[in-house]
Formats: sequence, structure tokens, C-alpha cells
Amino acid sequence: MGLATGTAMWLMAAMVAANGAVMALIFYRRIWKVGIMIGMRDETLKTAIRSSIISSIGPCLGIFSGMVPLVIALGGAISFLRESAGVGAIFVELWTATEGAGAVGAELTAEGMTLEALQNVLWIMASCSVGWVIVGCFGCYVGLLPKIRDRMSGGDPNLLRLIISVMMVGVFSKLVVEQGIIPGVVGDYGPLTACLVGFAVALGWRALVDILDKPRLNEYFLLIAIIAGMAAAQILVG
Amino acid sequence: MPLDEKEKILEKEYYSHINRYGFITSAVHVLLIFLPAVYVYLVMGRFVRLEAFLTAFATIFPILLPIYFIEPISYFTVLSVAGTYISFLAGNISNMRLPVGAIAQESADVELGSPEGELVGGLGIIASQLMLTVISFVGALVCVAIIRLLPQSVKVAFKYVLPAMFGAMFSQFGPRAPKYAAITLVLTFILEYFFHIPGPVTLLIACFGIALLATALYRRGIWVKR
Repeated sequence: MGLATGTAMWLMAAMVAANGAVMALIFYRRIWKVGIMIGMRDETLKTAIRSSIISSIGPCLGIFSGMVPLVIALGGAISFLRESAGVGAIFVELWTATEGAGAVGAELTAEGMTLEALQNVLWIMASCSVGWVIVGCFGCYVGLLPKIRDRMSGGDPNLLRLIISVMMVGVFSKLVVEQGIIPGVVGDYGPLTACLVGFAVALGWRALVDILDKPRLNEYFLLIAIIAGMAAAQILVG
Repeated sequence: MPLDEKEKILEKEYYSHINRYGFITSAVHVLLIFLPAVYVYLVMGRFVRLEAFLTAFATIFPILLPIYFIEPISYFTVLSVAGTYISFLAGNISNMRLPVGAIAQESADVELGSPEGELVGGLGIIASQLMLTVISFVGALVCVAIIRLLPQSVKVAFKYVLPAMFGAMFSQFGPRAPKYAAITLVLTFILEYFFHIPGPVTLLIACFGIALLATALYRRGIWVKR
């Protein structure tokens, strides 16, 4: 783990984070300039920035807490790299890291991390995240995104919404079956318990948020559900 | 100022600039993101077993492949051009970019889809990225200290993170299309448990099969929300 948390790794993490920050600052300057050109007031732009900073705090707390398992497994430097500008969705990061370590027979823990496992984890995490950059950023650059969107649905926004919804349902059904249901059917009740509790708590949390009429609390549903699922599985199954 | 004049300014002064620098920083990012792996390779003196890399890659890539396309296509209109570049470079879209961008537009009282909305939405996502950089740095430092205090039983429980997370994520999408959710759950279970169909193939069937079914039913007016 010394290599994963050494100065060189922190330096590389800083370079990745700085690149994301540079992109943001270049865009910021241009948006401000063009905003003034089209007649927007300074105050409007400042309001947008201020409200965005405030409204970012909640999601950042969720991300902050979600970093714990990643830091446990891979150390602070890699977690900073992945979360600051490395695609960052915590479940994707944990999943790719788990698969990367598992493929060399290691566990995603500080104790189980060998040099070979670390290398495989880093290659897998990087390779699996560039797809978003290529399709998202380059798709935007060449003007493909608006065209694809219109083709899939034949220009029907309702059909497009339906296609997107059912595809996401398909992805997560498959993952639930693979990570929770099948282990349970073959007698490993820990993952099944975690999965069921995670599902129920997330559902309950959102219902509670609706009753309380505090939509911003929705930001915490994943964190709460994960903690509840982990705790229930550990206490009930071990 | 008339709308078409604003749009002309955006066309000339905004999109070309954002696309140029968005492309450059994205290209730099693709190179930088591999640096840690290259560094460990140089220290170790050899590449990780190709079989190990391919095993993990073949498990993950087919699952992420539809998501690489689904997310940019579905989020593009909401995120704006600048927001799309930042979001797909640095992630955390549904849990951060979308709500923050929307709140920025609401607070600044600009119309969605207007030139002002495009700029303000972009500003919101920029602010969220700068916040994320700071918070993830602090988190990376503080988490290390917190972890030292954690008991062993807590550390062991982290093996349940993924099933708990997928259960929670399913609760986000399943109720939106419960009939399709029931079909895909039963179908993927049968394929994987009884027929031992490889995961990536199951995913393609679950994902694109259900999309085709949904399109066909939609065109016949079946299971369509009114």
C-alpha cells in the first residue's frame, strides 16, 4: 500500500484533479464573458454561482462518506484521483476495483492488496472510465449526441424517456440478480440480505422524504441504504 | 436583445470555444488517467497478467457499454454543452450535476433551453466541480485518519457495499417501470441460474431486449403512461 499512498501517486492525482479544474475555470471565464455580451447582469451570474456552491454541499457530503470504502481499499491518493475527476460514481469505482483485484485472486482490502492487484485495479479503473469521456465529451464535440438522441426515439421524447428507463431497469436487474439473488439462492445469505435491506431502506427513505416534503434529503438515500444494508448483513449473517 | 441575436453570439463566441477547450482537456484527461497504472507497471517491472486484465475487463465493459451511451444521450439536453464536458470527465451526474445545474437555473430565474439557461446551467456544474475537487481532497486526507479508528467488524462489512448499493439503485429505477423490472429480474435469473449464460450476454438481452420490447409495446399503446 506504500506505493498507492506515496508522494508520486498524490502528484498524479493532483494532475488529474487540476486538469478537471482547468477545464472548469476556462469554461467559467467564457460563460461570464458571453453572459455579459448577451445582456445578463453580474448579479444573475453571481446568484447562480452562490446557489450552486450551497447546493453542492449536500451531494459532496454523500460523496465524502462514500469515499470511505475506497480509501480503506486503495488509500487516499487514488481515491482523490478517482473522485475529483476520474468519473467518480462510487459504485462504479468500487465495482471496477473489486473486479480488478479479484481477477488476480486478491481481495479489495488494504491487507489483500498486492502489487499485481494494485496494477490490475488501476488499469481496469482507467480503462473502464474512458468510455464516458469518449462518448460524452467527444460525442459532444462532433455533434453526435443530439443526432443519436433523435434517432433512437424517432424524435418522440416520451419513447426516449421510456427506452432510457427500461434500459436502466435492465442493467440494475441484472446486477441485483448477480450480486444478491443468486448468492442467496446458493446459500450465501449475506449479499442477499444486504441487497434486500438496501432496496427496502432506499424505498422507505424516499417515501419518508416525500412525507416530510424535504426533497433535498433524497441526496442521502444511497448512503443510508448502503450503511443499512452493510450493517444488517454483518449483524444478521456475519 | 432579440433571441436570434443571442443565439448568434453563442454560436460564434461560446460553442466553438467550449468545444475546442473541452476537447483538449478531455484528450489530456484520457492520457493522465492511465498514469498511475503506468507508474505501478514501471515500479513492478512487468505488465499484469493479460488474462487477469481481460477477465476483469470482460466482466465490466459489456455492462458499462450501454451506460456509456445511455447517460450522455439522456443527460445531454439537461446538462448543456459545458456541463456535458465536465460531467462526463468527472462523473457524479445524477447525484450532483443534475440537481445543482437545475437549482442554479431556478435561482437565477432563467428559462430552460434559453441561451441564459445554457450559460447558467453550465455555471452551476462548474461550481459543483470546484466544490467536488476540494471536498474529495479533504475526504481523501480525513478518511485515512478515520479508518485507523474503525473496528475490524466494520471493515469486514464493506464486502456488502455492492449488493446493498445495487439493491438501492434498483429501488430508484424499478418502481418507474415495475412491469419491465419484474420481466428483467425473472429473465436474468433464469438465464444466469438455470442456463449459466455469461453475464455480459445476459446483460445485452436484459438491456436491449427490454428496450425493443418497450418500443414495440409503446408503438401499440400498451403499458404507456397516460
